[in-house]
Amino acid sequence: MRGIEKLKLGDFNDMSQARQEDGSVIITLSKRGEGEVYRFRVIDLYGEHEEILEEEVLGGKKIYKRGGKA
Amino acid sequence: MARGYPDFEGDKKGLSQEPGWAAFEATDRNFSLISANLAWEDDDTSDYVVPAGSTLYITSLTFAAYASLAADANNNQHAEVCLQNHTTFATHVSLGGNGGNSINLSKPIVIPGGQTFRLYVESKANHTIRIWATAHGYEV
Repeated sequence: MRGIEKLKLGDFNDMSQARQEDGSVIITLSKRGEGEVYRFRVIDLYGEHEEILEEEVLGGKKIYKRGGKA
Repeated sequence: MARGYPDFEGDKKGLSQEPGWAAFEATDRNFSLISANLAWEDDDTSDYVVPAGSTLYITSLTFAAYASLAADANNNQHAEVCLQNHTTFATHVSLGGNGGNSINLSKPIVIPGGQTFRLYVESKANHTIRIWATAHGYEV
């Protein structure tokens, strides 16, 4: 499952957001009992032009890099 | 609301308040917003749309504010942090402080499914600061 999907399903315990100078937001999600930490950079979160710019699973392999809408 | 078991079974003693029980059941939610280099009245937000069919309860809020530059480290680090329902534009809590503050809410803030919980921070310092805000609660 992708990080953006976990966010929208509420499938996490901890969420951290840090806004970047370009207006994008880096979001980190984690859930107890799961080894993976989902980290992704998104612009226009929840908006019409929402786009994932970068995405990775820490503690696991990188699954996605640049481009494409969520 | 208290949950848990009376001490009828020996090893299951004590009662838990709902936020504590949520941590046992892993339904707790912790939202952090890290905002860097906020000048006077600059703001930042963190949004979370509660999934349909769930309800989010926010029970506490804490924040810390630090100078961005070492030269301002000993100055006042005034900041404001709010808990909002961005769908209804209701501000439920507005918490100010110099360097940080925290509050445990006497009753939870309730954000129904489909509505947007917003964690809002704003610098009230006359120099650039970093604000780290965290809201805690649970979702069922």
